[in-house]
Amino acid sequence: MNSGNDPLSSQENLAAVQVRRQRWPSPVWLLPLAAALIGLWLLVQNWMQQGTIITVHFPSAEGIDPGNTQVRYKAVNVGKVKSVKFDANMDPLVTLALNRDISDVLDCSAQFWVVRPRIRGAEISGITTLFSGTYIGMLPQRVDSELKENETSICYQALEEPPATKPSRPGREFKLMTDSMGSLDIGTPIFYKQLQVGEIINYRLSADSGQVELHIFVDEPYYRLINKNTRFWDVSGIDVRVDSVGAEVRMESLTSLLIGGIAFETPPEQNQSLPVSPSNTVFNLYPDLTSSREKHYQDRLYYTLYFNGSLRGLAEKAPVEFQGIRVGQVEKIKLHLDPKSLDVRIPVLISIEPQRFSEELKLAEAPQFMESLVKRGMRAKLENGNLLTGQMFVGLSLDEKAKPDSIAKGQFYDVFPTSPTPVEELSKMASGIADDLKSTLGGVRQFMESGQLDKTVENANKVLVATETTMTEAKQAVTDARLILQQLQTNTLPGVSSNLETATASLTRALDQVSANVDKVSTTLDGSLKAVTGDLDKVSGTLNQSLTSLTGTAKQAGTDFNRSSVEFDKTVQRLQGSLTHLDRLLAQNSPTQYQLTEMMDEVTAMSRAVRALTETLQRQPEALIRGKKDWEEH
Amino acid sequence: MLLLSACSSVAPQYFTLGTPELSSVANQHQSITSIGVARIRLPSLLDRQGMVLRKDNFSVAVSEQYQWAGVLREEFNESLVSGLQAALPSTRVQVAPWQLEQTPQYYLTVSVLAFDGAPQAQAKLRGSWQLLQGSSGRLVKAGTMSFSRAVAGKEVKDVVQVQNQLIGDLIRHVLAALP
Amino acid sequence: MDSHAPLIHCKICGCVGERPVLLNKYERLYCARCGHQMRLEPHYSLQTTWALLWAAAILYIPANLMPVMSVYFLGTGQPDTIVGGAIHLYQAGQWPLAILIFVASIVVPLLKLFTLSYLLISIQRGEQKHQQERMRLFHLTEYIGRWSMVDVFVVAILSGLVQFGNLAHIEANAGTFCFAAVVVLTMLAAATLDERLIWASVDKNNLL
Repeated sequence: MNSGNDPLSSQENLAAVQVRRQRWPSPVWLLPLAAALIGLWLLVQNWMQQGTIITVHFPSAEGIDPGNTQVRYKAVNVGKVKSVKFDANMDPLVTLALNRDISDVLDCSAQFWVVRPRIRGAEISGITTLFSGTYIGMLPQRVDSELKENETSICYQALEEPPATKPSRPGREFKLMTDSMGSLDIGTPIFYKQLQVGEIINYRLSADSGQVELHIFVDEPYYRLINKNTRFWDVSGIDVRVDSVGAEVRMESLTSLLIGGIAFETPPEQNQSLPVSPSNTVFNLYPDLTSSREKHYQDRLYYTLYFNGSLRGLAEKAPVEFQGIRVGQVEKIKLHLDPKSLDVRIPVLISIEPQRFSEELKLAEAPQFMESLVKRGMRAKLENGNLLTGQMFVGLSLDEKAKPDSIAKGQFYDVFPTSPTPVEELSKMASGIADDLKSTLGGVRQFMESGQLDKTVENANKVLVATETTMTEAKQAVTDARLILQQLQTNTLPGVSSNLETATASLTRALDQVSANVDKVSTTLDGSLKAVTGDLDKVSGTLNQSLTSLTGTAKQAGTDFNRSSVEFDKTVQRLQGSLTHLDRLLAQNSPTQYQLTEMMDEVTAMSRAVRALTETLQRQPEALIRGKKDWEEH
Repeated sequence: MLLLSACSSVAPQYFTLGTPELSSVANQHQSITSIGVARIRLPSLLDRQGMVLRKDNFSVAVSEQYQWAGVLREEFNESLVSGLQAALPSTRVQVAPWQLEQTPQYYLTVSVLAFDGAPQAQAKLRGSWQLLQGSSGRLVKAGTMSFSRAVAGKEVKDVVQVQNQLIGDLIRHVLAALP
Repeated sequence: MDSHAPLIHCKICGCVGERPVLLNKYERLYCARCGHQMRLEPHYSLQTTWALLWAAAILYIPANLMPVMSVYFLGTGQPDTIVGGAIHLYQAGQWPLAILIFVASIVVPLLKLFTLSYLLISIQRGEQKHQQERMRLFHLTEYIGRWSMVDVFVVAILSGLVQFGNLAHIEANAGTFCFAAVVVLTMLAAATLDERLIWASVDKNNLL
């Protein structure tokens, strides 16, 4: 409390306020400084992150959103689309801004593509892009080169489809050659003992061989099972084989059923100590297991065959068999008609694998080997493969009685000697016989028709009649003469007897002549008849011959037919059996019928009962409790 | 129905048709080795547990108290078969169904239209029948039946007795038609 | 001394001393007894305000250039700047929201910066006119300044709530921090600006 005394007036109590000069600026300026530093740092960082800007030609800008669509490599964001424009050809030109770290490995060989949902073969890819939006995938090809100094580089062309990538797991690549893709595609699995051990990673059409070349990838350690004897075959779908032995159904896995598959095996007896095939070895892809197991020989000899007669039933790829074992196949059949001479030749080109005759045979020795076989009598013949379908095949057989022949040099291929088929021969014979018969019969008819026979017979008749008359006259003359002789015996015997002698002599001469004529006629008749019978004999002889050979083949056919008819019989019997069974089942008053009718009746009764119940309940609902009222006896 | 009958206060009486009395006529039909009785067809009116008793021409009564012991069709069948067997002791009488191999020489089918009666009134059996050849199913003889007898008694069992006799009439009628 | 020299009172130790009359710009007063730096009334330094304003202005640049929030929906999404976000909202048809964002996050901070700068300059120039208006302006700035935090709160709440893995998630990016800093700094700047200076008679020497 101040009591008038002004404390302020006493200067001695006042403290001396110190005055100091502020040397440093107010520390509050640190804030803007800090702000500036932060801003600067962010800026620098952004600038550091800034990579390169490239432009890429894309076939289509579908799904590309400028400013938003990202560029990814191995699922890591490495950049963004800046803008989309058109280039000179009105194709989309997309500008990408890429990060610093990816720009280091970028060069003109990098690949870009748009990742969208795709369904291809075994794989449905890019599903995530349905949610996340499409993005641009990239694959830098080299990791050690740097982009040249120009900021915008227009050396990129985007791919239509994502490139086939080799899987990054350990394994080895191989190549398979196949005639057609079938149901195979990228991603189709490769099986070994029904384990999936790899997949197809790429395919392309091989320009030189016209086949499709599949690039497959087989995982570690399964690729070590592959050596040069390994066989690959297609296991897509189901393999059904029905033949005389039975039916066989093969399926690899459900996956292969849907998307196809390839399996491989290495034949066990041959895989000891064979080295593992190196990467990119080429193998053949067989269409199925059986054909992969067949021994395949590379060496082939080609021959041309000429057959007379119809080649109906002979198709390309028909087998060439020796003793029933397939040694080759028919490659081509071509009609060759010479327009000038109208000469028809049908050369049949066959291929023979000589190693099927003998495994150790080398290709160089093979032509000689075949020549020696031909010298032994090997001929090619058209034979009936299947009586029902009329299929033919080429059969080689050693014919001891064949005319000596040899393999002739042809224009393109050597000509192998052929011998006619029995069928051919038969038909030829038959036609020959028919002709002979016709001519003979024609001659006979002509002879008959010409009336010469009639005339001869007439003449003979006449002669005989004349002879008769002559005979009677002669008889008469003889009796007359006897009379006269008797008369003259006494009178003019010597003169008359001499006249008589001459008369009888001339008579006998006339008689002789007559008999001679008759003889001549009979001999000529005989002769012509004999000739006719001779011809007929010959004809019957040849007919017999041909009939026997016919019966021979017919017998063969008959036995075949017998066999099949026996089978048929059996089937018919079985069918009959089942029919009788069916009869018994469906017979009138059979148990089945009876039971069926009973059941129907029951069902009807039940439905009626249910109806009655409902009716009762409707009428007398109290019947549930009190029971139904009965009828009254009248 | 069963429940309702259980709920009812009166205990039901059960009846069965029994074998009709017939004398043997085997010597007349020696050639017949086997005869079969195929499924009898009954009208749905009769296809019920309770007996059907006729009141007059146009009305019937269904009894809860008086019931067939078995199914009427089976009762009828049984009655017919046993009657036939009695009449033809040397013939094998078969009941449907039979296997194809055991088809009898002839077989009989009966289609009943009416089979009812009432105490102190008439009992009737009406319908048609067919005799067929077993092997071929060919019709040998067909005919209608219409039998009626008077029921003297007042009880239901008298009606059943008369019905039994009616079946006997039917059998005699059929036998008369046998070749 | 007869002149009634003005006195200065130390708030810490309570000693009273003479206040030197003339001080040049860079001289400061310290208490004789406790050494506490004594400030003259009004003692709010314009420097502080300026410093804060500058900091806010500097930070405002990255706040706008850098993304403030990333919205990822079904695996896809991208970070957005303030302006970008406003544009997206507008394009999505949500123009009231877009306008709100634009106003709250761009118009208001800029307005604050400019208003405070103008006020500071006017105080430093010793303007005597339009004091009422400037007063009102100041109050307005101070009042609405806090509403810029709306954007920051929105980001904070969304990124706290929407975390549904790959289905949807929202992240706050660096821009938000910068923007929050800007708003806080401007608020502080407004707080450190003594409005009485608008009314005080100009005496440059006394001010520092």
